[in-house]
Amino acid sequence: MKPILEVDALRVSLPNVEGFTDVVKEASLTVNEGEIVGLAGESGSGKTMTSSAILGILPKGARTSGTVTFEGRDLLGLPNAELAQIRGNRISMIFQDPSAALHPLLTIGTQITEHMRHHLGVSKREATERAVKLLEQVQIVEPRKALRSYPHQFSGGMRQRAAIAIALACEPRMLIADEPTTALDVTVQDGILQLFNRLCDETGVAVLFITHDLGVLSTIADRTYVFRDGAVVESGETDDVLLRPRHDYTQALIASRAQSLAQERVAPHSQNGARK
Amino acid sequence: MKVLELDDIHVTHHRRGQSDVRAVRGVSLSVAPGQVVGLVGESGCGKSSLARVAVGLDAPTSGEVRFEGAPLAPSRLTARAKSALGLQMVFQNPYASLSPRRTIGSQVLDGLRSPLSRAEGEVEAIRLLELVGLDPDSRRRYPNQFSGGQRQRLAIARALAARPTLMIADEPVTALDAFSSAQIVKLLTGLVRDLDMGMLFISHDLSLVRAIADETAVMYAGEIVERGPSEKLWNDPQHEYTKTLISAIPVIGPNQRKKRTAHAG
Repeated sequence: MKPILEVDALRVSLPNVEGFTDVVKEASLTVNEGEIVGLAGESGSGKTMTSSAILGILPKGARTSGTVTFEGRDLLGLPNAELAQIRGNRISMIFQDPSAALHPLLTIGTQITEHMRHHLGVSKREATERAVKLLEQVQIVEPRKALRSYPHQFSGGMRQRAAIAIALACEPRMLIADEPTTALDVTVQDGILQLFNRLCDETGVAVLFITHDLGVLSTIADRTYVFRDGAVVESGETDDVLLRPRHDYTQALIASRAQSLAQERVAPHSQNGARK
Repeated sequence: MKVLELDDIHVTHHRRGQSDVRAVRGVSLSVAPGQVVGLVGESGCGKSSLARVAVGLDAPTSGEVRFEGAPLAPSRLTARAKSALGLQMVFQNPYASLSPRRTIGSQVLDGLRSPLSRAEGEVEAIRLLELVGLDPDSRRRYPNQFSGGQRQRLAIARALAARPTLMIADEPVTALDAFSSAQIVKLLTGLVRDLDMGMLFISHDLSLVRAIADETAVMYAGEIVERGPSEKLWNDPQHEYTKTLISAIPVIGPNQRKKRTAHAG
């Protein structure tokens, strides 16, 4: 497997009243082509800051060190104009709230095609044909009708599918998805997760999937990194990390899941073994 | 005696120039003291319409809500009816439900049914903060000095100030991370047991409801399609929708990605 992204000893510091706070400390990770890699951790663990650093969209005044190598180039040192050629083109981003990611006054069609016309310079007609194919790919029924629809006419799941179609418009090599299913119903989430799985297999796109839900990672991630306080505490094949966790923090994360709480309630002592 | 009874509730929303939406279609539900009833459903199933009726914010199109055996008096614009003060609510977003400009010690006392003297209020604020596991010495601080989980504890403390017999919690942990959420679930189960309150716990997350509710009702398209003891419903679901809901919940288990890929290939 060929690595597409290599983050090495990444450090991100944000300015505060007293100087700087390290929000990411020495994070290293690799994403290979066609692979879904999970970043797990609680709010404030640095997983979103890591992805922002990769894309060069950190808050103003942030300082970075280390390297972020994507397709052989170090992104950390790149000027903004060159990063803009990579963002939305080679690397796309999908966010938690599709309603915020979509423009309310533009049709879905405009939002998919403007992207392609800007980055790929294709004609309007060709862009429209590609948009129809993309909407089919993300399993939106009646794609031609959907192109003329506005985001408010879509349900939450449909909006996230549309946002994914936009992210895929320029055939990126990598998607960064930050909690893309957290705002969705479980049955809708299931469909979106299967969609990621399929897209990854069909197009070979790599996915960096950020979530606090370990069950989601068990469903789709090939490998998983667990973040805590800006550093990776455990990483490996998802099965090894989640079924045979070595680090106390990973074990605590698993124990705090609703599933574990419910089991604890049914058999309160099973966690500690027999008490007799 | 039941503390909350919903009897054949229908809610129909009228829309100008469009067909009516029958959001709730004949739902009956009851909560006993010391019991947690979970109401599960996905967006658009009508659970929020039902919740608004259950707390007295909206009147049902037909059907009756009884609180402590008597018809629930509808809320007025700025205050709840005196007879309905024993019914308290906890909402999803603890950032929106607390005022940023007042100390938490003062805000937890907002829930009191009648005002207390300064000294009595101090004692009561300390009692309430301790009840929800917060440091009583922090009562002179402001909400922005608290995390999401701590703020939800504050919102719960404020609801407890009215000494409620029924708590309606609408997605109370959805905005919290896993650790805080687990702690709030444990806090709520403990409070229901210790204070002998009834609780209606509304959530989209069936695995969460299983962890907290004694009885679970599954709502779909305005109706309750299945109900029963939580563990039984989880282990032996009867209705197709319940089965779909359970199978869609991501669980930690052998990695399913390769399995799915193999099927696709």
